[in-house]
Amino acid sequence: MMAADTDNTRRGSSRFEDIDWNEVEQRSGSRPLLTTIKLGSFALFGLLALYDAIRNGPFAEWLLEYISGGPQAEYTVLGIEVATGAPTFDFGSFVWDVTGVDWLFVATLMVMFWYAVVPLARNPRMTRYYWRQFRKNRAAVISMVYLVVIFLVGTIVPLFISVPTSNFQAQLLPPVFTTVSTAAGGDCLVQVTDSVCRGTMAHPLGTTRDGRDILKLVIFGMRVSMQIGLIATLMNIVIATAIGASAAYMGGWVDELLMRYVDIQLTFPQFFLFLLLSYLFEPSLFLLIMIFGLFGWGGISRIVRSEALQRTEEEYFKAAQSAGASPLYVVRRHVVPNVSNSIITAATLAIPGLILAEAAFAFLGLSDPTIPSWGTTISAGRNYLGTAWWVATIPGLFLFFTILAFNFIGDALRDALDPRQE
Amino acid sequence: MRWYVIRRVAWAAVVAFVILTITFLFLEITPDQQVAQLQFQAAQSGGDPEAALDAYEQRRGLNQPLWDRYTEYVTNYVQGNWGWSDTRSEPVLDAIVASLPYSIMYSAPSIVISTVVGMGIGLYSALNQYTKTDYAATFVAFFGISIPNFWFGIMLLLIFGETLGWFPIIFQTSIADTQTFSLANLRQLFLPIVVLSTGAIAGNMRYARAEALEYVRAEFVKTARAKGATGWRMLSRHILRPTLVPLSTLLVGDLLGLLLASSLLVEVVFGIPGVGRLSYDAIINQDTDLVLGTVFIPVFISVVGNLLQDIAYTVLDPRISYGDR
Amino acid sequence: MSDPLISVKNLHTQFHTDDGTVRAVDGIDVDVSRGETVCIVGESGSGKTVTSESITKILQMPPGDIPIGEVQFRDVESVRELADQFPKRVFDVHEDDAPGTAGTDVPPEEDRPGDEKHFVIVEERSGDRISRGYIDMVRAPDNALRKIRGGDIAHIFQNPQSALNPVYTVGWQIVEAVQLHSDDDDEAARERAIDLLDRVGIPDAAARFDDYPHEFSGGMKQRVIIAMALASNPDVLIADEPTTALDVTIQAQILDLLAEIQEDLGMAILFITHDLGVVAEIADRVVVMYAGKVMESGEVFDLFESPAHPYTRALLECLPGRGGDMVSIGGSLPSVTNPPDGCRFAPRCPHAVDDCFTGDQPPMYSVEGADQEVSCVFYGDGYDESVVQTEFAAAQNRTARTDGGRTTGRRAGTDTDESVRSDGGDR
Repeated sequence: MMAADTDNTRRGSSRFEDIDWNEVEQRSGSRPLLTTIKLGSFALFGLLALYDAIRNGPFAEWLLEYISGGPQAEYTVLGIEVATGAPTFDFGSFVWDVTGVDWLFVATLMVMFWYAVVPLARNPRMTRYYWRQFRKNRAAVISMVYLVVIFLVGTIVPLFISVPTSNFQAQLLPPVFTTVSTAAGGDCLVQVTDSVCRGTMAHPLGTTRDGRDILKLVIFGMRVSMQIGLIATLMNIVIATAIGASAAYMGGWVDELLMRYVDIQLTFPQFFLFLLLSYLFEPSLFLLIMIFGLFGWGGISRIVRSEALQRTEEEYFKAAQSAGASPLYVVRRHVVPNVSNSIITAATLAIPGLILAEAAFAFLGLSDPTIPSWGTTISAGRNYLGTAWWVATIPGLFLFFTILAFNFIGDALRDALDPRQE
Repeated sequence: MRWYVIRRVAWAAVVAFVILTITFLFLEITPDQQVAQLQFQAAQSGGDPEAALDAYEQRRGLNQPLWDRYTEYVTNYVQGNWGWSDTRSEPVLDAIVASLPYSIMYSAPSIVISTVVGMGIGLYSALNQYTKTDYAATFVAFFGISIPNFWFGIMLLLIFGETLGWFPIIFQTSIADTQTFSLANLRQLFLPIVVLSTGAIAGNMRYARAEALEYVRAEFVKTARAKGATGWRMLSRHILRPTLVPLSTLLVGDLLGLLLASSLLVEVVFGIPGVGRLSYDAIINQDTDLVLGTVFIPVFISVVGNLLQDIAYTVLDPRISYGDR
Repeated sequence: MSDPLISVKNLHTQFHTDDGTVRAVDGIDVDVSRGETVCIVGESGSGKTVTSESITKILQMPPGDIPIGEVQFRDVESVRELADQFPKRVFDVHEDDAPGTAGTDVPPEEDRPGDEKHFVIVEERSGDRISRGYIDMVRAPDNALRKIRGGDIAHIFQNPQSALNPVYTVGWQIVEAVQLHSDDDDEAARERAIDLLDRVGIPDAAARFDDYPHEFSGGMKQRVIIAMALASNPDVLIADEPTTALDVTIQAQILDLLAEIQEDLGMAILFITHDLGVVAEIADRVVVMYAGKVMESGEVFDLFESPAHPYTRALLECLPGRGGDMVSIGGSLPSVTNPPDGCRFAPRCPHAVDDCFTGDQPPMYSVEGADQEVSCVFYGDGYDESVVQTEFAAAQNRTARTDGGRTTGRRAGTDTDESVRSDGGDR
């Protein structure tokens, strides 16, 4: 709409009254097509997820266990052959067993694409404006580049490489260009002198005690961090917005009840809430994401509420209300878009906390040990600090810079989007 | 005022009660991992897993109706009977009390240091906004809040312990017990204090700076200047005092949570046998009562902290009306 | 004629920002004599508040900066006191063989007596005692200014809501002001504070002493601030739009109170306002500022009777009820980071000729037959001043017809149609 307006003013002669609104409507005729594609993509995703759930998910296990009388039996639901353990996609060279976390991650990426990338692409004027604001902060731009690289490498590369396994011919190899004394007890691929060993390009970042390649571990760690950060944050945003906006809009006892609940949830120190829950349940990445996503939204919902309360005082809001718009419509069309800047900023600043918490839990051994996270690798390197400094140091650097980058970007976003801040 | 405090205390009690209840529900719906372990052990040693389960349930009172178990659970916690630690063979509270001094030994100095240094730098930055010092402090604060404390601890151990040998790598409980106020003890507590303080200083600094900036530009500070107040007087009386109001929120609420969470990681990294380490060991050893006890400690500290913070707020800020809530 | 108590000479106050240097005050002169009321009038952004805050340097420095200019404070008591306290920073015009000229003519920067470190300037001594001299506030260090701020020159501000510290009782804040400039003990200071509250018309002063600012209404807060300003019987009160944020009825009360106090204590008042109605009521002399420059200054009756500068004329015509229709001045204030050449008002002036757009702001010409000075080329040699002494609105309409609207936006990107009215503008 904004773009259409500027088009008209640019043509010079036309005034507001002269604009043919029907024409404007027609010019944005690509919208229904896009909406169709959007809905189609979500539908396709839903069908695939359902297929996988029937074929291979917990539902399939339950089916085999209780209906067909044992995991070995064959069973067909809606024409889908139930086969637990088989990978979801198997095209010979490309095998991808889509896990629950993967499904969530794909869903998150789809939401990000349709509700962040597409609107920005469709509104180049706004995008350019935001970019100009954002570009002023050089640290944030560098951070953005870094995070995009981490994101792309972490999402794409793990599809083509397998989880690094123990290799007892390549234990404690140093990173390339560095040397280490062989007295430390590791294996050696390139012997410089009798007592000095040099790292090679075969394992550019070195290997762990049991010979796993640190570069691969780090790449898988990128995926874990991105998954935790993005999925849990999206869940937080959705819940926080729903709770915060309805508390502000409905007021009265609904507001009271919801906010008292938020009080209680926030009184429980988040780290210990996560700790207790991950102790009580069998630890897995999926569970960790669920815990972070379902119980980490308290702070954001308070921001949404207070922001929405301010907005509901404003004229346009009252105008919409007096025009007879339904409560849901008013919240969706007038409250949420107006608080979205605060939500995005708060969410960006919440991501590093989630990534850090996952790393800490993995470090403590409270996460799924089979999934290589940065925290797990740091923990593994702890016992070999004297002999193999790189094992704990390298993934830690990635963790540190990732958190730093999110903090820089969050700060820049706050400057760019939040006019109340200086 | 008194009425407000009473209501606020009552609310704190309700929060504590609700948290206890929710935890009880979680315990109920999750599979008891000790049962599986007991049954496995019984089966291995040739016993009857079912009998072992019965005995276990009998011992823990699990065969009673849900409601009875719930009321007993709540009364026990209220009465200070926090259960029995299987791994340490002592009551949970005794285990916590025994390990508390080690936690206090490094966290108390950290709190003091991070508060004083963090607020000092923050205020200085606010008063000298847009100077090089301010930019430097802001930039360093970013590192402080971003560096993962457990990894930072490991790096410090690697550099100053392993490579340079300035500080011991292994925490010696005997030194802490017998020579609490000695140089040797300070040496082994130094790195943990640094790690714990770094993040807290950075957080404090950023917050203090943001808050103070609001008041540095305030009209009433100009009034004070026009009165002829000295720079120090303006800072200490007219800027710091109103800044303290929102800062008290940070100090009690956020900082406490941060320290409690960090202390667990710090104790694991440095091998300090404090409450955090106790909690970690309990988790690893599946000692459920002890896990609950060590988790409730920070929870109740947080409940009380929030209470004190709200009361402090009303004392510090005359504008707050006690009628709210 | 005796020397003015405060003379501001060629004052330049700048702010360094990301977008360039903002020259908020760009070379102005203002004199305030004992016991008189001087009003600085101008629309928002004209630099009048910055002028008032430059006098005792209570503005934030940095980003504020006074690179050029002098603010002379001629209170012999203070000069003697500070001369004793800062002997090394005293400059004696006669003893030290300096080129500086004493007196009150505008000294160009290089002609200022002494060098950077000297801020107590002694012009005459009778025996050992200093009998004439001044303090250069621009050069004075903070610890010298502290004695003057609140002690000799007090301030009251525009917004009483935020000028009081919310976490202290009003009593505490007045006692602070009293004790900063006296040796009174707590009890005596309290007595004095209650007297002051009573003096400014706070009913039941002793009981309100321990109340917090939020328990007072806006008008009452402004009274408290005035009480605080009176704490040590200042010679000058600088009032920066003290009535703008208040209701009209309260405004009148506050103005009456100020007039009453001025009569009692014989203070001078430097009153900053955009409201010409207030000026007419209280001023002895008026200084009209526009975009960091003085357009016109003079005795209040002369200035209201025959405004010399087109801008003053326009301002007065904006006043409702002064004959004719209400007028708005087309265009808006010029850029403060990059001001236009020539007269600052030229882009909006219907009379502007080519000379108005070149060189610097015209000098202050005396107006014949009146106690008035004006910065307008039409009062210089070779111009007919009667050209500008016509109705502004009529002239504006005339030029708009013949010139296709040159007044709106010939320079400095002034094509937005913001307008100035005498009753609006400031915050």
